[in-house]
Amino acid sequence: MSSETGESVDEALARLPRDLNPARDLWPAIAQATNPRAARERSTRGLTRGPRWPMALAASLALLGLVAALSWSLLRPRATGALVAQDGATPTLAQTMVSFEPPRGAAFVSARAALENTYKERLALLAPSTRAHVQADLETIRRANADIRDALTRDPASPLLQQLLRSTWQQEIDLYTDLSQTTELMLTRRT
Amino acid sequence: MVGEDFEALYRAHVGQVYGLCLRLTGQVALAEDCTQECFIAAWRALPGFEGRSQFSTWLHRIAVNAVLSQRRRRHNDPLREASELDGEALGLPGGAEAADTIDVERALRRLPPGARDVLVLVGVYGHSHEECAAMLGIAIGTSKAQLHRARRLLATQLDIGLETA
Repeated sequence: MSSETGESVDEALARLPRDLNPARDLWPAIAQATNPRAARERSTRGLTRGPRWPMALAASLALLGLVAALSWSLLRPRATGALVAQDGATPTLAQTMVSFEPPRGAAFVSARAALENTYKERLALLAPSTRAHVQADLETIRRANADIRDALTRDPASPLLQQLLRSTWQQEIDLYTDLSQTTELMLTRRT
Repeated sequence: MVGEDFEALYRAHVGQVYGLCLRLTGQVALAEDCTQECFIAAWRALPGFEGRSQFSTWLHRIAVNAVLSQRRRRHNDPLREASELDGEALGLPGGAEAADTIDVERALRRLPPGARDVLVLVGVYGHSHEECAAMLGIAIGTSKAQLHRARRLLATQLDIGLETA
C-alpha cells in the first residue's frame, strides 16, 4: 500500500471489517459462568436423549484417564521416594488407603474428610505450577462426578454410569493420597 | 432474560466485541479472555441497562473495561508483547485485499497504546470523542489529540495521505 493508490487513512480504516470472529467458540465458557445449572442440564440432556451420549461418556473417561495420568506423573515419582524414605515409620492414613469402595457409611465419610483436610493443608507445600495442575485436576474430577450423578438421576440402573461414578470417587481419593504421600517427604526433610 | 436470549445477543455481537478486544490487546488469547469477561460482566449488569445508549455502545464500554483491567493485571508480565497477526488470526480470506487489510492491522498495532486505543474506538468503531473519552477515562481534548497523532503516524507507516487525494 502506498501513496500511489491515492488512498487516505480514513479510507484504509473504513475498509477494516468491524467484526472479527474468534477462531474458537467462546460461548460454552460464558454459558457456564452465567448459568451453570442450565449449562449442566443441557449437557445432561445430550447425555440421555441423543445418540451422542456414548461419545460424551467416552470423553469423560478419556478426560479422567488424562487427569489420572497427569496427577500420577506430577506426584507419584516423589511419592515412591517418600515411602522408601519413611521405611519403619508409622504409616499415615493416606498411605494405608490404597483402594476404596463407594461411600456407604460414617467410616468412609470420616476417612474422606480426613484426606480432604490433609489435602487442603498440604497443598500450600507444592510449587505453584504443580499446585495449579492438582487443583485443576480435582476440579475436573468433581465436575465429572456431578455430571455423572445428574445423568444417574435419569438412568439410575445404568451399570456404565455407576462404574463411571465409582471411578471418579477413586480418582479423587487417589489424588488426595498421592498429594499426602508426596508432601510427607517434604515435611520429613524439613524436620 | 433467559440463557437462549442472551446467547442470541452474544452471537449477534461477538464479532464486534472480539474485533475491538483483538485490536486493543494485539493478542488472540487475551482478546478471547476479554471477550468472555465482557459478556459475563454484561450478563451481570444487564438488569441495570437502561437503554440510554445503544446496546452495542454499552457493550463496547464493558469490553474496553475488560481490556483495561487485563492491562493492569499484566503490567509486569514480560510476555505482554503483541503476537504476530496474520489472516488466520483475523479470520480473513486470502487475496490482495486481505493483504492490504493485514497491512493496516499491523500498522495499527505498531501505534503507541494511547493513540491506538482512540483510533480503534473513533476511527474503526465510529464512537464519538465523548464516548471514547468516557470509555478510556481520558479528557475529550486528549482523545482528539490522540486521534490526530494516530492518524498522522498511520499515514506515515502506510505511506498514504491523511485526506483523500
